[in-house]
Amino acid sequence: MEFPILSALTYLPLVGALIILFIPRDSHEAIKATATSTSALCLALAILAWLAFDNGAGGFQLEERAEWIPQIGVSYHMGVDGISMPMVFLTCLVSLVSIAYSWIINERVKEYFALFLLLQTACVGVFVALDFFLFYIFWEISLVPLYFIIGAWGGPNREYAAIKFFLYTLVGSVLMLLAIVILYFASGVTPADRTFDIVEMIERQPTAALAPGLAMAVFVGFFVAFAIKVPCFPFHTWLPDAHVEAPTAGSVILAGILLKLGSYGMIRINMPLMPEQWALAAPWIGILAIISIIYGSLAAMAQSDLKKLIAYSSIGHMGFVTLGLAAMNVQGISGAVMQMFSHGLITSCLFLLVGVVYERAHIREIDGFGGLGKITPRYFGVFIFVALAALGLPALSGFVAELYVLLGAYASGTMNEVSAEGLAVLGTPWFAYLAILGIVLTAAYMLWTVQRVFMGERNEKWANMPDINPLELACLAPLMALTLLVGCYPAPLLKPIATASMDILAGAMGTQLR
Amino acid sequence: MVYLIPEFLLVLVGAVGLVIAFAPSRPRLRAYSLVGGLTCFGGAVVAGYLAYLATTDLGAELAATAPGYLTTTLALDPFSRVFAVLSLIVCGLTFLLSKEYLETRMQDHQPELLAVIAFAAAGMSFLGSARELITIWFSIELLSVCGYVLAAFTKDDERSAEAALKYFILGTASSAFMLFGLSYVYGMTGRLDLVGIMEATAGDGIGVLLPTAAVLMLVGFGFKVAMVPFHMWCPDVYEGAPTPVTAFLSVGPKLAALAALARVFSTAFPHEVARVAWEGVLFWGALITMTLGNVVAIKQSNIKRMLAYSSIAHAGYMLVAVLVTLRSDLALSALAIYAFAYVFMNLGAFAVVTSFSNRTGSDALHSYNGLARRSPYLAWAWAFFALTLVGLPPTAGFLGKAYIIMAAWDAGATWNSPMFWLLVVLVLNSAISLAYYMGVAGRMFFKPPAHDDPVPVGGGVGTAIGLCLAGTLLMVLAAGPIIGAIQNGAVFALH
Repeated sequence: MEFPILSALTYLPLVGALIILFIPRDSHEAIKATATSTSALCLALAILAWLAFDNGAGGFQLEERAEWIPQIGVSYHMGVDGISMPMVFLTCLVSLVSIAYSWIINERVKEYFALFLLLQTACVGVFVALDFFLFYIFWEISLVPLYFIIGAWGGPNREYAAIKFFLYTLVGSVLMLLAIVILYFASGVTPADRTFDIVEMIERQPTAALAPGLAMAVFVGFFVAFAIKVPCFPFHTWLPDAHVEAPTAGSVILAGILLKLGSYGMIRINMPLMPEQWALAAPWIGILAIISIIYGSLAAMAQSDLKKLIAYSSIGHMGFVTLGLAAMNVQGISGAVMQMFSHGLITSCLFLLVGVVYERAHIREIDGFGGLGKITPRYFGVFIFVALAALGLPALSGFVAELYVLLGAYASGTMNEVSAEGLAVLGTPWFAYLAILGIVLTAAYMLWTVQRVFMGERNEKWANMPDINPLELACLAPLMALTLLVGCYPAPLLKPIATASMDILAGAMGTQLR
Repeated sequence: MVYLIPEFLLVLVGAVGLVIAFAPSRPRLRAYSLVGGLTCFGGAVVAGYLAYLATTDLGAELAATAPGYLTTTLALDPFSRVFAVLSLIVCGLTFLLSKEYLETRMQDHQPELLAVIAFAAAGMSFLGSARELITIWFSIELLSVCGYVLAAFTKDDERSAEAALKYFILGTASSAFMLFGLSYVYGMTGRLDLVGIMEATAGDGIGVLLPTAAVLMLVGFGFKVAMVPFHMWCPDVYEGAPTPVTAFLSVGPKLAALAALARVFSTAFPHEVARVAWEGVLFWGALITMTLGNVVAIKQSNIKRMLAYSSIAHAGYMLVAVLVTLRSDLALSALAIYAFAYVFMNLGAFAVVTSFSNRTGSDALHSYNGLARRSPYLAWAWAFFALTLVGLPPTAGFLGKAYIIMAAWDAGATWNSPMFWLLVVLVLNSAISLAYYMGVAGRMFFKPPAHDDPVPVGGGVGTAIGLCLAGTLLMVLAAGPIIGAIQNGAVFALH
């Protein structure tokens, strides 16, 4: 039997968390070292897994399969394709960075690091699970640690933010549970025939057997669960609260990884399992995406709190992901996945940078600063780099991703043509045009923020603010390096993603022809 | 006869308790709770094996050798044996979680309380297997009378006395309704056994009296299950009764009544007129019960009252499984799996409450503030049970809920059918329940404690919590074999 690398990758953090439970409460250093080394080991494993992964081959690789609850067709099925592999890598990287940055935490250290490792297990698990039962288990587990992280280590209004986050996402996921059960019963006639296996279901296309209304209800059940997580307008209201109250590392992992679970779910489940419904809904999803992009950017511009600004910018950036998916072509899906990866890197940097300044000043009011560029030049340099990446400067990863999304949206038949029937106004590639407006708005608020914080008159209150320290720089450096690398040479990342996107489209189109 | 081992064991444990109540020495409680608890768990293993046997050919032979007077009164089929296992587990866990409470809060009559719990558990086991009206009646009364005694056990406490009186008056009233219904059924059919009733009502010519009788019986069962609108007693009794007793009452009578409900109505009343009546009542009963339980629980300030409403909500979920017994093969499995999950998660939650109130004497929600600093074990255990009760994976509560949803969908739900919307309400209810379960966890973890005194956990109740944690997790991780056993067991032997 081959070494079950995906299981190892998934449960290693859990093992680390269990080890931490046996370390005495007061030995902070030992706990932090255990957590960091566990997470580093995971990253190494993820790199090994990617090396073992054939980027050009397509299909699911490194699969593991075992019986679990044979009575109802539940199996333990894991595997990765060209979309989940980069996401697994990103999860391990961002988790390591958050855990390393969390060395500054000195309160209830034991619980904190155990929860963080549990969160990593859940996120990796969602990306590698290929059975609905397994997928749902990891999906729901991912809510719990973050609830406690926000609630126990967060800001003044943390309890409200924590329960709001939990309730919003739970409402989505219970509807998803119902949708899963309906799909299960549609997947076979006799009990022995039915399955929870996602790959198997994609082949069988159970929605074809359902009444149109029910099929759409199933689609909506999944879509709402995922859209809440993304978050897509109008399901986004939990996000600013959660981000503002969460501790820095919590925000990093929330924005960097957890939001991607939502869009990943759309790619893995909604699109290949319900292609007809997706095509029907595509214009509407596109409209939601455009609203997310423009509304998110405008709302970001209006914020006075630096962290809230980044939170709203996430809504805008994730709008590009949804837009790319709505386009339902190779460029669109590839761009969406690229954007997931790139946003994971960039927004993690942004939240870390907010954390850096908040640790020193204990305020996040944009107008409370000014002239920081002269006081903390290295911090200024890093911030400028990341801000430019966020606004989509060519040669940085955000540009490649957004370019692909725009290409997809421009050329999309599903969105533009289908919408020509339903919504006459949208006959031309308005989606692409409007999305470009979003990029302009992003540039505007990012540059305006840089200007207000770093330029202008020097605020003497912060004259003695220390510059960015080596730990913080070490956390940021790998993320920034990857941003640059992907921006300049995206091919190694694009290849598996495009291959997998074509797989997904082939599965979806095949059924439409049938 | 070998199938009756669970019942014999429970009665034996109870009888021993009554005898040693006269023994003078102090260690008797410790010894009794330990030996009694172990006996129950050992018995559960044996009974589990028997439940497995009952699904095999050998089991069929064994069942055939059982004397006629036994098989006409008790259905010794796999389903009833699954509930016998459950009765033993409930009894064992209650023994463990009661020990410290009895030591710290009660001066005398400690073994008697445990003995009465064992008798009640025997009643629970009988009720799960009863297949004849008199036996059903007898089992319900055994369970109920023990319940009245248990609720009144701290007799110097006014609230306990009030709770017991309420429980007694309302309980007997509901029993009267049930007896009324039973007498109608007997009067119309001249039969006492469920299968006979089904045969006698197969043809036409049965008027409105049969549905009336069925609904009257439903009132009686509904009271034990705490189905809305017969739930009024529940919060007051749960609040006033000694906490370990509340723990037992929240699982024992409820689950046994649900098992009996499933058996009685699907066996005796599968024919059109009566069936429409009881399915209709159960549909709305389930819907309103789960919603009311969850919504009212949010506003409670006493944790026992909160758990009372939560147990009402869970009864609502399980009523969905009962509702579809005639329509889906999965219904009985769903009921049994949920019942197992419910025992572990609800007794676990009550074990945390018991342990906390042993040391602090308080059940008020605000006294749980900052518990994570005072006792991490209790706080994390609560968080875990809370998540299970909500129905989050990877726990037994999730498995149970998933099975109920599957059974209900399997029962022929379609787009926009009433069942579809019942399921939507069901899943939204689990989201509502998050607010109050996790609200308590939030108090424990996010609020500062009033003071930093640690809350030590007693050995007995600590073990009970550990067993419940293990049970809830194992049910999912080892789901294949466990579900296999339960699912094989969840069938009625009709004839």
